[in-house]
Amino acid sequence: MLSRIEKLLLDLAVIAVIGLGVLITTSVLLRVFLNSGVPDTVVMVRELMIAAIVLPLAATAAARGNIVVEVLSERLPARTQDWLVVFGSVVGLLALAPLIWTGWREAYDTIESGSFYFGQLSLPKWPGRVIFLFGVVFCWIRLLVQVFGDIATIRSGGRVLVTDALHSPHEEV
Amino acid sequence: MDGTLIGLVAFGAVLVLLALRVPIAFALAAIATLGTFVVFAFRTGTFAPERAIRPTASLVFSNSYDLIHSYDLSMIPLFVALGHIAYRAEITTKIYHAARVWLAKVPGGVAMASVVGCGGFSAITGSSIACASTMGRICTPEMLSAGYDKRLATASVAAGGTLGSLIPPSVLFIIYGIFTETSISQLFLAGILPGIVSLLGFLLTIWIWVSRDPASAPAFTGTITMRDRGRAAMESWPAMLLFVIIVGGIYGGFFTATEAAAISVSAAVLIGFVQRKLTLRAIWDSLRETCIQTTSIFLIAAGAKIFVAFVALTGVAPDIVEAVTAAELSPVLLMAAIALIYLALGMFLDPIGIMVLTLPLMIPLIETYGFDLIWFGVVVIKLLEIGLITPPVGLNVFVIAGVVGREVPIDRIFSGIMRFLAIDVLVLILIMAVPTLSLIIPYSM
Repeated sequence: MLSRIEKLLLDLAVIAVIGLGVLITTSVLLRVFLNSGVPDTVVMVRELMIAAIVLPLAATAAARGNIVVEVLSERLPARTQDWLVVFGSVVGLLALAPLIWTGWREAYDTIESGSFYFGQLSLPKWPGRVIFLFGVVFCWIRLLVQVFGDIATIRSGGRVLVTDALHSPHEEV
Repeated sequence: MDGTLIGLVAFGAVLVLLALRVPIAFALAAIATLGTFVVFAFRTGTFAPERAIRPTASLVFSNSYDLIHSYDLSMIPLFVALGHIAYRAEITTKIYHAARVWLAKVPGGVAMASVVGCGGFSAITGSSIACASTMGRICTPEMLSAGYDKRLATASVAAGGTLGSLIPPSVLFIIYGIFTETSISQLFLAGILPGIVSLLGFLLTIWIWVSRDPASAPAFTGTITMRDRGRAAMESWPAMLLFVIIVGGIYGGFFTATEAAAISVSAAVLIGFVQRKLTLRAIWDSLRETCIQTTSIFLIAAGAKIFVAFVALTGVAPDIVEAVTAAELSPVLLMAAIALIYLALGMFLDPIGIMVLTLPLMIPLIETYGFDLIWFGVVVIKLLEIGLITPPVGLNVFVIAGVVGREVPIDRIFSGIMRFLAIDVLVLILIMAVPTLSLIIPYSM
């Protein structure tokens, strides 16, 4: 179930990236050829950025795509390395918790107040806040599932997958 | 409680967490959140945690949300997408094939073509490790089967791959621009000449290597006609076009860097479809990879942004600036010390990690000394590039080692890298001694 949601969120992020490209390209072409533009491009791009960056958080965590430094840890015994992976996820849970709390308050406040961006389209502020909250919450759930899953794997004598972690964000560009 | 002490303890704690394999983003965010909470809790002199919760949460949210909620930074997913799409459309590899044909008769031609190919690849993807990874799979096996010295065949691509960070577009320049609030367009333009000088330096290294040891690169015995050369050059036009759109568009004032990113992605997709190299499935897969990769970059950037805000609260940066100023370090000595710090960190940490950890302390220092932040950006990126091929943790070297497997032991690759490292240090000194080299293009806009 969680994997399906992550895949859906990732696909929504892909649509957001396509939206970014189309919106900015259209805006430039309209400016060059018709001396015109898409209204509120900047606001729409900023809102799409939230979707493009935050929605794949859970899928990134699931792929163990968060960048780590392995210089010292790779010299440790395999079992210790596995426990360090669990420790890293626990730190992630702690780091994301304040974002969920504040994200909830921000989303609630913007919906309650009905606040919007000044511009030709008067776009509402809540979609970005809600998307942000969704992305972080699902990432938190994924990390929690990973912590329990990894502990179970270690206890049963198995190995937690550690080799997929990226050394750098550019590795596959 | 002393803010400077909290700041220094926090830096130490981040290093400990990084050593314990905690993801960089989580280490930065967790320590910064905890540190901010402590600073706010002790603000009135006594420990009052109830007063610290809301401002801490607010600082953490606003710094991470505002970073992502940015028009300018949409260039990161777009440039990353460009790299993936251009690779699948076979645009990036065509540059190598063209250089391969043109340099076939030159001693060490395949190695030189690899470096030129890396330069061209960098001009589209903006990533050093991606460059080494992709070009390593194409060029290194070809050199090995042609009987090239194993050290030359591997080291030339590992070194050539580092050009990805200096030649625009560069993800590292974008991240530097975020944290120093400098113009990313100007940073891109500043990287062009140092990137070309680095590329020429690598070509010179290969030429000297092969001149002194002709057996290291057997001569090409086939025939290359002018027709072959013409065809190879013609086939690389999409890469040239994308480079012209990015650099020409920014330099000519036609686009911002963000707009150049969007236009070049659209152009790459169009070219890929026209040349029947791309399918909708390939584009979708490219964009999925783009999203995962961009998210991991932004997660670190968000963690670092929270950490920077926390460092500003502690006042540790002004204290360090004061200490350095009191020591009356000359500008040359200061830059030498900074270079040594980056080179030392480069041996153990990855480039983004180094940058986000050091910039909060370095930038106030650099500003106090009146150095140009654009020029300093080029220096930092060059230092990070050198770190990519410095033992024991030269990431590019490990990437190439992964490509060649057991055929070339890693110590052989490092022994070949030393010659490229020597020229890299010379180029670094040139960039540091002659700021005009970096600044002439951005300041002539």
